Amino acid sequence: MTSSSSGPRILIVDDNPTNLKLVAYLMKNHGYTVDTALDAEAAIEAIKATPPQVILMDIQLPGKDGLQLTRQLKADPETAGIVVIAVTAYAMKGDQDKAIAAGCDDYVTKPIDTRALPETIARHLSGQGRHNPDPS
Amino acid sequence: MVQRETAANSPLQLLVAEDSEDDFEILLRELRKGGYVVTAQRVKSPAELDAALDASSERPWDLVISDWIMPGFGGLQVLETVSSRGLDLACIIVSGTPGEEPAVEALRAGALDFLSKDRPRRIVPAVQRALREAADRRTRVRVERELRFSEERYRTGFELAPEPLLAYDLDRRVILDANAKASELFQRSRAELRSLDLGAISPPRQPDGRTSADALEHYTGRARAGESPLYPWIFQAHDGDPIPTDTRIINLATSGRNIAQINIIDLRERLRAEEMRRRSAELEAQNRRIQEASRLKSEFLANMSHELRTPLNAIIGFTELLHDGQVDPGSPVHHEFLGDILTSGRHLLQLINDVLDLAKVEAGKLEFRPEPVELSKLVGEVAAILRTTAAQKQIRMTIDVDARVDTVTIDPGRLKQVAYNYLSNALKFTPIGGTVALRVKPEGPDRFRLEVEDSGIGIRPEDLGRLFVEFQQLEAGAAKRHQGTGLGLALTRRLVEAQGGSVGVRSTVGAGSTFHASLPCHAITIGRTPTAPVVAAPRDGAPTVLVVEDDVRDQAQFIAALESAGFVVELAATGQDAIARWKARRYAAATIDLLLPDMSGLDLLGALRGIESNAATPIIVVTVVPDPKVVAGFTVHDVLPKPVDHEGLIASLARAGVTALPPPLDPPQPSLAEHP
Repeated sequence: MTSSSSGPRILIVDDNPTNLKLVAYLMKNHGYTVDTALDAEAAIEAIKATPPQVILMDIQLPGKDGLQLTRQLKADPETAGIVVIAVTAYAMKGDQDKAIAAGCDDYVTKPIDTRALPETIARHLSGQGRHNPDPS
Repeated sequence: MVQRETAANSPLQLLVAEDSEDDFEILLRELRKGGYVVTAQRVKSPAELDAALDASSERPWDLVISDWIMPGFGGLQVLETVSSRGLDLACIIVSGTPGEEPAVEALRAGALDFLSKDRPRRIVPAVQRALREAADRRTRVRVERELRFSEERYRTGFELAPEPLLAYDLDRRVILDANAKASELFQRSRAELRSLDLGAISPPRQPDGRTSADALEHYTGRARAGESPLYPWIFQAHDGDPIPTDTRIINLATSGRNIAQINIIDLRERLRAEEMRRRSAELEAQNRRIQEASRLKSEFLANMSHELRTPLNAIIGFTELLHDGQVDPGSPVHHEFLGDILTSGRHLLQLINDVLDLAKVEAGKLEFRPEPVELSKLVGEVAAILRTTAAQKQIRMTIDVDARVDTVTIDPGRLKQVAYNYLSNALKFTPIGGTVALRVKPEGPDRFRLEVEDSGIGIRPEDLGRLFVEFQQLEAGAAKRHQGTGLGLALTRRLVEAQGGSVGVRSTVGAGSTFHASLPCHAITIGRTPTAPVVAAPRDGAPTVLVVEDDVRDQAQFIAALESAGFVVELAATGQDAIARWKARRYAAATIDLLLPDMSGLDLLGALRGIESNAATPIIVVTVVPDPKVVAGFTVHDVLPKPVDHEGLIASLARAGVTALPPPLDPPQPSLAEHP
């Protein structure tokens, strides 16, 4: 699923269709070109078709999970440069460390802040990287 | 006395001290006449005698015959020489000048006989006698030496044996001796032990229930009969400590007396080691259970957080978009997003309700309100809720309620929850065009079974165990994640178990699954569940009775009877639960049902009686067939029939010395209640 905007390309991976719809709408509203995927396989296909600049990665996915997929992308020189931001409902102590250890560039917990998330993404795209390393 | 024995062809090695050739010849002739085959050497001087004796190692002499008086030599000298060499060699003196004085002198010096040369015919009987006596003496010496040796060996072995040994007179029933180890074992000196009977170093009874006296009678009898089995025996040390042993009584039957050696193997070290191993294994298992429980708890919390955040993400996210004016209020998307918020909100509510129910049922606080229920109507209502879902997936849903169990007494709301969970689960995992069947049928005389069969994806055998566990939603394949709280089946299990039922599932991957719940047809409100906390706080001073009973109706009867008589009641629905409780605190009494789901009533009795803290607590067995013989061998205060007779139960407890105070108004008198 691809939108026809002309902004930076963003891939949203989430197995929950409602949440996928929410984030896709939000990103399109902020001018991004949005791809979506319900699982890791669909995500890999979308990346192969047109590599995005940013991936919003849910961690709990059926089959290969978001952390495994991130490790795979970061290990491949062709995809290692894509900014991966974990967006997950796993918000317990240690979950952020696991995400960063797997190679995620940032970590955002659900419920998402629809005002802050676009800013976070924009910061990464402008090369400023992680701003707040300790999201609550 | 002359004995007319013949010595036909007996060989005789003879050493003769004799100066007269003639006398020597006469001697030999007489002996040959007497039947001896004589080989003789004659010596005439001390030097020749020494030489002949020196050679005796090659030529052992049977006998020495010596003249009494010879020139430069004499019988006395011969006797002294033989004696000084320590030889066991008989000497006979012959003399040409007999007399009383030389005879006495010769006999004193060790001669066996003193003969006169005048009467040569007496020589043969004398030789015969000398040889016989010498043979007898040699035998005696050998036997004595052997005996001494064997006794020394025995004594050393007895004394130094690494295990405790007793010598015991089976006829007189008395300990004759004890070795050092035995003395140490019994904490009594050897002198103390001697003259005691075995009963005095044993407790009054053996673990099999026999008196020590009876058991001893048996084993000593077998020992007298020559049998020496190894059998378990409890001895008692001087300080009263029991000494578990393996013991063997071996009848040595010495010289016609029944003298036994008792071999004792002290088992305390081994038992201690076994006990340590058992305890350490128990602790390890307990530790593992605690760690597992802690892990599950953390996992539960993590899952809980994840499951709550997921719908909140949609609710808060969409609301922010709408609130911030990012969505055109009149657009279809606006309406769609409101719908998403609503759905997510409802999902969240369902999740919270499930969690609360789960917490309540876990704490034993969930209340059940049983009432007469028409099952076909109830399951019909549940099916109606899900009819649309089934229709959307073109699933054929059938309902079949056996008329024999159409009316039961149960909490309708809780049963609906169970039926709904099973049915919605089945619909969720059954592909488009499949079938789902709900059936209710009798199971035994007073239970019914509700089962839901689907033609869904099925469950792998290794996953079956995780099904009824909180948040253990199984991976349903990469294509689609099945929405749900992950709590439905866990809650179902707990709801059913709290009503005295059980759940289960059979499944074939690719062919479908059948979930079932088995429940009593007539539930009774008991206001508590079998999973109540292990230690219930007793009401001020009121004695607590442990009721071991798995049937909820009987449980209710016990509670009614005991509580109205002022007792506090604790329930255990399984043997294991009963044992855990019995270990954890002291009870005033216990009632035990012999038919329990997890172990035999007799095993349970054995286990309970082995727990020290409640060793003296009266136990009343309440069973359908009250036959006291069944519980013979156990300390049981009474055996009562089922159904429970309230007054009979209280009277039986009173006979066992257990009474309670009238409950509310009276001031508590704990000491009276605990020790009536």
